[in-house]
Amino acid sequence: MNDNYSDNILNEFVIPHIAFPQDTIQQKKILAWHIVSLKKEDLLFSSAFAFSYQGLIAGINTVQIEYFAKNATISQKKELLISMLADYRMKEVFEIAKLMDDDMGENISQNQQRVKNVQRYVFDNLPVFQF
Amino acid sequence: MDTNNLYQSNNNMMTPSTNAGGVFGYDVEEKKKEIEKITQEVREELMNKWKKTYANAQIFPAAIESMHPEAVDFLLNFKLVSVYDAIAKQAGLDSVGRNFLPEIVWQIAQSKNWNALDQMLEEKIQLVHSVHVMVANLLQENIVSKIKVLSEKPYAKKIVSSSGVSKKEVQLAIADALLKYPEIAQQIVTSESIKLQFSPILMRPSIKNWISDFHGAMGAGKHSPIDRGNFLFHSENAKKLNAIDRQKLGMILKSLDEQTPLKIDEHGPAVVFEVVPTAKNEQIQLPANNQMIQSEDVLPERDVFASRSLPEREISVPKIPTAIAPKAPIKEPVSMSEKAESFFSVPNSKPPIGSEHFNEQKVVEVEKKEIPLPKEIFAPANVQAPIQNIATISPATAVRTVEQQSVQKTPISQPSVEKNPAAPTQNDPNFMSDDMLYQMMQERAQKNVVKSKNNLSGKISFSSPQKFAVEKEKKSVMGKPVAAPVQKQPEQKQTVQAHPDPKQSMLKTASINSQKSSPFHIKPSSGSYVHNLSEPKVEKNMVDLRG
Repeated sequence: MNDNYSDNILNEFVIPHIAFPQDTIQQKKILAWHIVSLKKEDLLFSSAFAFSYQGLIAGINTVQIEYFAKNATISQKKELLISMLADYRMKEVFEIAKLMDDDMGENISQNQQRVKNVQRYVFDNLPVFQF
Repeated sequence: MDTNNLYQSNNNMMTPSTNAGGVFGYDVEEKKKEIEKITQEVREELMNKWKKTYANAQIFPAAIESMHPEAVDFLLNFKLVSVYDAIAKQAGLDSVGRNFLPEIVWQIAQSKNWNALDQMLEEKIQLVHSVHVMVANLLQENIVSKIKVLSEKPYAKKIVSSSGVSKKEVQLAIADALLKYPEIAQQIVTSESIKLQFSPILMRPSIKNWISDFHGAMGAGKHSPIDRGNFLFHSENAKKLNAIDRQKLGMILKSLDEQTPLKIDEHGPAVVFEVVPTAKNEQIQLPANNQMIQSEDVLPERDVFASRSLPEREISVPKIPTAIAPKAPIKEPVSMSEKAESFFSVPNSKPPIGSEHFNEQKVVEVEKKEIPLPKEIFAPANVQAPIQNIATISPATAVRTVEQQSVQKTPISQPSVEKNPAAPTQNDPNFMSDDMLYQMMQERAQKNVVKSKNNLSGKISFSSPQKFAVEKEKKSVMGKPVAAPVQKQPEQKQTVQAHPDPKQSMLKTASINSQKSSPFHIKPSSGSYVHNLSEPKVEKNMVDLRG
């Protein structure tokens, strides 16, 4: 029983884009909520490929991105920057953030603002993400 | 069948867990706690693995890696996003103008060109001068000045090793580093052993020994770069170095003279050499030479190789003359408590009285004093060629040269042990134990000293059966008594008696040469066909063999 738990938890950390199915936007939203709830260090455990998933980017918060910029590996940073520079991906990211705001209540743009700030932070500190 | 009883019995069979949340024994709170606990365990495990895997992984591009870490930390603070926003709002900048601000700040921070802010702003953003000044002031006050302060702070770079132990690097001049960490003196700098000026044995190429060598050659105190260059390229020890080793040694000497800071790993402690790759030295192997050999763990040579996985060339002590080789392994008379001042004083290579090196030095001195005197030297077979050449020059010079060669070569060459096939292990140095070998060497050294004392008759004897024409002539001249009966000298013993006056002997030889037709007289030594042949005609230096 414990082994199953630990396996699931491990997968959620390392391959969140697989542990949480990413077929629909609702499923992507669930991944985003999972990522938001993580501690700042936990984001580093994700494989670099996970950063190409919109659900994960929609879940990154400001504390996590600062820690990520200071500690993440080249491959993780590269993948995140590629996603951030791709307009079609970011469009979907904002859609997910909007759904998250909708879950919280009416006229709430907290998550959308968060994603915007994260994106701005990455662009402000482009030398750190560009290799 | 009573169903109530059955229910009761079934109910009794179910063993609810402690703190049961109901009849089914499932407590949500308990499960939550359990999952949290497992999550924490997985997290810790992942963190440990991550630290090990990405201990020294590159996190920043090279340009940012070279910046002060505190300055980078400051620049990566998320609050700066709002600071840029505020400055842009205050100056009335649009989003494009606002996005130039962090770019300019990063450029200044990387180039450390703190006065270029105005110029960069003017180049990037088209604004009225007053707005420029305002933006520049705001950036200067809020960000640039702070980065400048942080960048100029001395810092210790932390490197996490793969084992999870963090490495701490500090920047210190070599003199300060030696004072703070005396162990650094024993750090190996180059690969080959070095010969110190007043030391008979080869020493480890440690920082301390190199500094001793440098001060011995160039004197203590400050030196110019030309002096250092001369030492690095022309001194006896340094001229043999490869480019990488020379570069490393140059760093040490520069730091010694000019107090330039070197990177010191506090956990070693050891100097961290950053060798710039050049076209000549494509292959760089730094860590190997950075290995420390502590003076306390001085081991016999073989044990050193066995215990440390260093390449043999690194600590291979070149062949010490076997006659004076110490029984014990080469030990440096260095104590860890030795003060760093001694590194900068002119080296006193005399080992302390009573130490084993003191006795070795005595032996060498005795040999040096007594070996040059003998006139008859028994040279080993492998030194024949140079000796034959010597025979053609003046005897005095020959004696001197042979002395030098015997001093240089005799100890290096293995003793000519007579091979006894019946007992190969008794006399063969390859099969002998160290103790036996050492005893044998000692005996031979003593015998050599005694021989050299006794052989003062002025004779030079060569083991080679071959003779040069000059030798033959000399022999013929010397052994040509006019009327006395000729004493047959044994042919095996070939001695060349040095004439008391070399000039006269040379003159005599020259006069004899002029009288004789030719010294190159070829005569077949054996063979039946020889008898049928007539004597060849010799005209000057031409030999007619046609008969």
